[in-house]
Amino acid sequence: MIKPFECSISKAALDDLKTRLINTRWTYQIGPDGVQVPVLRI
Amino acid sequence: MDLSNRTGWSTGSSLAYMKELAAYWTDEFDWQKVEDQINFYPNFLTEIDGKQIHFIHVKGKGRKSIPLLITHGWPGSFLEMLKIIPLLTDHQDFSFDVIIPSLPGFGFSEKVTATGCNSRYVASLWYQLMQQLGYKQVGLQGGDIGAGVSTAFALQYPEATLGLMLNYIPGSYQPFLKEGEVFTAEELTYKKYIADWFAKEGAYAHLHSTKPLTLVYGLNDSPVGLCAWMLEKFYAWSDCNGNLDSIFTKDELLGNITLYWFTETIHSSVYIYYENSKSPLVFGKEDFVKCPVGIVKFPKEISFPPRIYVERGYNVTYWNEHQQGGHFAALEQPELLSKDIIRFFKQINV
Repeated sequence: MIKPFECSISKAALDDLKTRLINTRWTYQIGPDGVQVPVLRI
Repeated sequence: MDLSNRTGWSTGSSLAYMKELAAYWTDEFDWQKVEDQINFYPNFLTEIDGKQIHFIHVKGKGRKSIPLLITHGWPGSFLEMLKIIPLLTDHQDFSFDVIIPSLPGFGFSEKVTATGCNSRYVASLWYQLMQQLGYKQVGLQGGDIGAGVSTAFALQYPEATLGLMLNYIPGSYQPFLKEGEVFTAEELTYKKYIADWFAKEGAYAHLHSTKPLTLVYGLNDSPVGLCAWMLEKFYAWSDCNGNLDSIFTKDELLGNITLYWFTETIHSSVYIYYENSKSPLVFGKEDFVKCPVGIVKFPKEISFPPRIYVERGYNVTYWNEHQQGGHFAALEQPELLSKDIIRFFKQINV
């Protein structure tokens, strides 16, 4: 049966995306001099 | 290791651009605007063969309006087609009733990772969708995976096909050679080019076709990882001349990627490569697309066979080549593509 559909993404999903973007573990960082350096977590 | 090339794209999605885009995604991107664009058009869900299928259906305003079923590919989605809708539906004399489904496993269509969900099977779903909507025949349009699905539809349901308009020739397509026939030098050069292209650029497709599950744990868990995997193709396959922002807005790129993110469809979307690899469009003796076929070629398309190679398997009645545009024709060059679609279907006088 064909039924109408409306797209509606929840606020929780939007918030989760933003949190994950903020917490991205970048493999390389770009320093102030424009040179890229590997991220070292010790 | 030379780190300097990470600002460029030669080894994959540019770090500099990814950081710029991720910052925009975090701070400026507004999903609500994408939702508004989606909901501006009539969207529907239906059940076909036990699977939920999403589609947009916009009736044409013309005195004569014919149904046109447009199928997207990967890494695109139905969103690619939004710009082309008014260009096809608004003409007062001749228009289209546009049907834009989401492939199974893409967007709001149900995730299907069962054996056999390949382009031929999707064509059978589209045939049932056509019937549900009350149409006896449809015109078909597609690129990328959509070209394969549309071709399969035309082969399987010739009586239901008004015409077929492609802006891409399915990657697995191989025409049937009759006894004594051989490929021309031009065709052999093309085949060599394709083999070289797959060696240099086809890793993604090989991975999708062989070990899709391993790939997607990371992509479904990291928005930036997902974005990088998909974005590289928009860069490489579009006519962006090294500058993505020259051809797509960040909102267009991120709208599509965010759709994949929210619906968690990266696994189910790439899975069709796995299924299609087991059922390539290798034409047999009886396989020939008999309906009128229109071909539109954009210069930055991934690859395009010579006309003779296409004509071995398709009844080509229309062929047009443009000076600009790439793989994502409906998104990159909606005006050009829509004019070709209108011209072709007018020409075949459906």
